[in-house]
Amino acid sequence: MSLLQKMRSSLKTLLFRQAAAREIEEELHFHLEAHTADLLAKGVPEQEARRRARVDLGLPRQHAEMHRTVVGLQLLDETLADLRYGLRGLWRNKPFALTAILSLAIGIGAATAMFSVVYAVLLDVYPYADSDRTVNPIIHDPNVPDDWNWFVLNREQYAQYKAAPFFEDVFAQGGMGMQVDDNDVQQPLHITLLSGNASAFHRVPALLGRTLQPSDGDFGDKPSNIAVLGYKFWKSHYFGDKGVVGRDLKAGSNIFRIVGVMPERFTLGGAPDLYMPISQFPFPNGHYIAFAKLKPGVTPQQASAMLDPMIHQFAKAEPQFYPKQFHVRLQPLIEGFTARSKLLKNFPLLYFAVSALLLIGCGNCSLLLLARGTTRVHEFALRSAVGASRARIVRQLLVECLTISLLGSMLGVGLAYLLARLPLQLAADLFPTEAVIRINGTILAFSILIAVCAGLFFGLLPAMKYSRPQISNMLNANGRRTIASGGKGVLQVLIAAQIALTLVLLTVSTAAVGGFLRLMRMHLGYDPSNTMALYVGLGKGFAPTWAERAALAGSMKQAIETVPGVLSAAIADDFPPAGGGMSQFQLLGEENLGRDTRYTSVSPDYFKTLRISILRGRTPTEAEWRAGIPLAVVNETFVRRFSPHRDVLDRTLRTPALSTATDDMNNPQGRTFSPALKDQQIRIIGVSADAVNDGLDKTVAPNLYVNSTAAMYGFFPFVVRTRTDSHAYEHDVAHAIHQLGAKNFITVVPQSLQEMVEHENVWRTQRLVAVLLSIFAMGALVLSLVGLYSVVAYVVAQRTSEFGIRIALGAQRTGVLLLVLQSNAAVIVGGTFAGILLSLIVRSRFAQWSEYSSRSSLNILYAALLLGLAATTASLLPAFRASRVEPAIALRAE
Amino acid sequence: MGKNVDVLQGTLNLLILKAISLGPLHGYAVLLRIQQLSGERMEIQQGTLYPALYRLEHQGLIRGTWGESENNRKAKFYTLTPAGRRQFAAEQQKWEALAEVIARILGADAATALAAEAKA
Repeated sequence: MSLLQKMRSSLKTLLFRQAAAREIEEELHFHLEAHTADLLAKGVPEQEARRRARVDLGLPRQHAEMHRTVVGLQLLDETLADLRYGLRGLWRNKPFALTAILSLAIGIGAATAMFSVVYAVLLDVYPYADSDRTVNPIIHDPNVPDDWNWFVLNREQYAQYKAAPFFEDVFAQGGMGMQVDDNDVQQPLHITLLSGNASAFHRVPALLGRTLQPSDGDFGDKPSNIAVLGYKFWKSHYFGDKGVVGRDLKAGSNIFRIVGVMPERFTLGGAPDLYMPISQFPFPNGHYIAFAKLKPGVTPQQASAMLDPMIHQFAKAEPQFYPKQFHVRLQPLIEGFTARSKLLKNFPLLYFAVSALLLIGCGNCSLLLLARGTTRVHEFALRSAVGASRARIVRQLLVECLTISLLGSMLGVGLAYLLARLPLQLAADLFPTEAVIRINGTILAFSILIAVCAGLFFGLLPAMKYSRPQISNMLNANGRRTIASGGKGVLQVLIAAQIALTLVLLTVSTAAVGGFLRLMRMHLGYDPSNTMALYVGLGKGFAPTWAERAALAGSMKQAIETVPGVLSAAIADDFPPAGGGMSQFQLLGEENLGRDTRYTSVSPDYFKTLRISILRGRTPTEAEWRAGIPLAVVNETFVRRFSPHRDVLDRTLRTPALSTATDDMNNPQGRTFSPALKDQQIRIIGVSADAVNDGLDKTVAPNLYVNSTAAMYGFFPFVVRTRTDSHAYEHDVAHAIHQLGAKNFITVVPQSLQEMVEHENVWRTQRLVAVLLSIFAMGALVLSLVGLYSVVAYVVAQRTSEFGIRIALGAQRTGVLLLVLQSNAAVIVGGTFAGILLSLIVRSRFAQWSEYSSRSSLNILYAALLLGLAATTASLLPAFRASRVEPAIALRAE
Repeated sequence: MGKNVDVLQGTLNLLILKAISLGPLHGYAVLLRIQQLSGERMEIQQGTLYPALYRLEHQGLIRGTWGESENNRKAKFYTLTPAGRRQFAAEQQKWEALAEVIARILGADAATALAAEAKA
């Protein structure tokens, strides 16, 4: 009760500071009046009476202070005074304050941003309920290590799968495409179909309207023609209109009622445009992907082992969907991302970089505090001499350090916010579609804690040392304003450490940038500049026979080629740098069929269009193409691997890819075969140079380029080379095709082949890593140079009088310059050597993680030279100033 | 008038509580009351009075309220709170016990000391 009373009394004074002060003043005023009146009554003259009353009572201000001390507010008052004093000091010394605060901000910002990204993509990715127990249906072919495949189930199989006792729940997902009319351009729509229980499985509420419900249609129900919008589609197509629920969406010849919009992070099925009930799926014998939620306590390994017999039984019934040998490997949801991410391999390097940057930032701040502290010895001595206790001096420094740390942290949060958005902006497709990167509170708190601790430690170091100084020593003329030598050692170690860390960051980032440049200049074997790829689909039932399609292909190609600015056009069902399908084949005269090659359908001018050189033999003629003669060109790798000893030209191969039995069941438009095709046989008539066909990061795969008219689908994929940037010709090319019969064609928005290269996972990863590391390294370089500069400048300022004396005694100005440089040379050289050593260690440690980085040792040398030069310059500037000291002015400054 | 005595350390609070226990007083009157009760032999340092009052008020032993003085001036009058009354009683008892012991020690001669020893 008494404690409560005290707290109330303290709080009252704290909150009503003015009122409390006034009360005290009034009380004392009354006291003075009463006392004076008494003295007057005793016959003391008025002036004397007033004087004696005041003397007896003492200073009113002292009473007010005493009152605050009594009610326990002294600490607060003193701290506020310290804060004011500290802020005034910082304001007076703006460059120092700014540098210290910025150093911390950059370190905290980078570290918080980076680790927040990691948290968002690795630890808190999915918004779905129990996502840690949800597994992808994956099979693994032991003959193809490091690769895995999804398996799909038909309706009966799905029912059997769903009934497995170790699954808590299973939902089915299918996919299909439609077109939507968007300003007269047919845009493809990606639609994910979900079984009725999917909403209950994920438990993610809709952003607007509602999610799909079982009553909307499950397997075998009549299509209900409703749709739920994906977030991105809602933003891009409806511009985020909140009144969209209840409206109709026309897609193809169908009209769908919009019943809801999903939130941003719900991107099941690869961020499709629309979600629809599974009853909408047009193919009764279609296949679905079945995602399962394991019962608690069941591991994916156990479930996989128990499922294995079931899936092998499915594979017997539908062998075309499975490799010859496989194991079931149910895969936790997150591994679908982590197992293939190239970015992930670079994460350790990025962790290292931001940690180094945070250290450099803290180090810089510490350097400045230390340098400033050691020059304040005089001030501490003076304060101590007039009665400041040691605790009081330490506390005052503590408040100053905290002020800097907190200001730096606040700025760091802002920086982190900007930086954390960068990865998603540069390369959104490297991250799971569900990932939304936010600044993580815990990580932020941790970074700030590190920064504050560093600030406190190095800020207090001089305080602890000099708060009980030998006053006489410090105040006497000789010891005046010198750097205390004890602080200097720590200072030098800090600088050297900073230089070393900066050097490591520089080498790491130059290696990453070098690796990226190499990737950009990589020999692709084809020329992706000024080329585009586009699909033209045929309307249902249009040109159903082979002859009609072959004729149409020819006239379409011609129509495209007549567009002004188009240099050449060719049919190609695969666009480099990533390839499409693989096919088995058998070279006639050899036994084995079990060989795989990439199979690409092309028209003869494909090689001219992509500038792939023909090394031997020839390409088919126009007449042979039109007639559908089954001829093929193979690449060098094909020759090397499959026909190293026998001339490949004029050899014939047989491939089940051209058999009607393996026709894709999901393609309603079917395939038609050339009348010239006999027994699935193709004759090889040419050899082309290798062109990248399996992604930028893999070696070229064997490739069979078959005359596209040998077998024709109901759609025509084209590659078109244009005179300048292909984007400029997109409209003209689409227009030319549509003139052949607009109603019957569906043109998909063209893509530039150059952009396809740039969309490659490895390309984007490398670019992102290079950009991030460059930012970090530049930050580190700037920080350590500024740190070095300010420390040298401090030291020089302290030694001004010494330089003045030296010059007055006849020292050469260059001599003074050298003197300053010399005092830093050891630190710079030492730091650089430590940095080189550390770089070598880091490189060997990180070699396996950053496989595309340049490994040349020259990098380290260049970085060391650059850093050495920059560091010398940074210390040269203040040194130069020292050499210009006018003796008279320097001595008078004392 | 006898010689002035100084305030014994630690007794100022007790004196103030005593003065106020006789009726509400403002700060200056507390001084006068103590002076008067001591038979004009004790004078409190004015500079020490108010900090003591602040402390007692902060501890909740006395409460200050604004009122009118004898000559119609606004003044802050202090009264004992119930807690203050309890505290005053306790302090007073403690002081009396202490004073008695000290008086006995100081008043002792050789004979009483011997008697006490024999009893033990």
